[in-house]
Amino acid sequence: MTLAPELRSSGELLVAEPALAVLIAHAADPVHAAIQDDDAREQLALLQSAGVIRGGSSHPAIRGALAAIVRPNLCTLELAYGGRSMQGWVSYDDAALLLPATDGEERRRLISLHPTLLPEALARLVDLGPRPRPAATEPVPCDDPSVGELRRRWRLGATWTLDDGTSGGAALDVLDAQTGLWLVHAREAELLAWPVTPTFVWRQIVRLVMRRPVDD
Amino acid sequence: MSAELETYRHPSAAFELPLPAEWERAENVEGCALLAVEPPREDSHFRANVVVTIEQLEQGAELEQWAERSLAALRESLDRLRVIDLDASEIGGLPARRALTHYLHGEFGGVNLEQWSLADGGLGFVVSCSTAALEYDDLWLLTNTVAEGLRVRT
Repeated sequence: MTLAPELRSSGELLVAEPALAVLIAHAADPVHAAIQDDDAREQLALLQSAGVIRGGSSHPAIRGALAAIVRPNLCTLELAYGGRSMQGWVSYDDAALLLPATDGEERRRLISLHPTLLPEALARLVDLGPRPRPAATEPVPCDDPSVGELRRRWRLGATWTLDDGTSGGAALDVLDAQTGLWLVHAREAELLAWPVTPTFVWRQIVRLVMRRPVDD
Repeated sequence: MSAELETYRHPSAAFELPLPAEWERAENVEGCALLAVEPPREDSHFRANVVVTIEQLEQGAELEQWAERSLAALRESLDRLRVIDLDASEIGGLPARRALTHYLHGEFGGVNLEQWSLADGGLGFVVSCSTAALEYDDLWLLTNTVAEGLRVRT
């Protein structure tokens, strides 16, 4: 039994995977999604009774998110943090974040937001904020004692396809330690940690959303 | 984003700093010694800007505490302010504090506000650089060059 979708007053949609798949298919092709099979029709009925789809259209609160998912013409994102994974889709006008289910909840959270607010939303998820400066000025092995105790490690990846069909991608791998922030970077066979600042990390988040490689 | 910089000297306040030659400027407006704004573009967008404010500091005021009070005031006045970074630095040989923040602008969405604060001769100088969040990296070098180029004239 799938939990019914729930559209919250904040504009967030709590939705289980099967209903989300139908919702996205409906956004891309409303007619085909409606006649696919019995399961799809059941999910569609759940979405309609929850007010997520009404009169053949998706609710305005999530319409932008669905448009970005169907046509992410800027980039798609994946953020791995604390053993969880979040997906993001970005177009020039809209963005969507699909957050992992919280403990005891099988539904994921779909959030619609303007692309200009995406870096801050990502920063919030990884708790980017003021940190001490690592004492090191040169890269060290990731397991070097100077990195100190880890608060968390997170990785933000972006992939994109340009108008000419060429595809690309980049990623930002960060150690958030008691000593400060470190950028993980492979050099030959070794993983090195480079001491960085929250400002540097913020710039790299913006660069990824704007389809630019990470500085190193 | 590249911009030709020229040295701007305030006509009455004791400071100068490098500014893009083509930016619009206004002096002594609404408590700001200087307001410099990038030229408008064809499409609607948040225009990057630099604001310099000067205030008389209480006798014995510490830079750290003053900078913290300034940050607290920002929290009161800006929507969904997030502090991204706080840093101690030096500008023109004077100790300075830098704060990088982000807030929600009612019309343009995410905006970065980066402030450098320094004190000299009983005066507190604040250089505030605001950019659209997605243009922060484009303008990072320019805004840092402007702010770190501030010089207090004696």
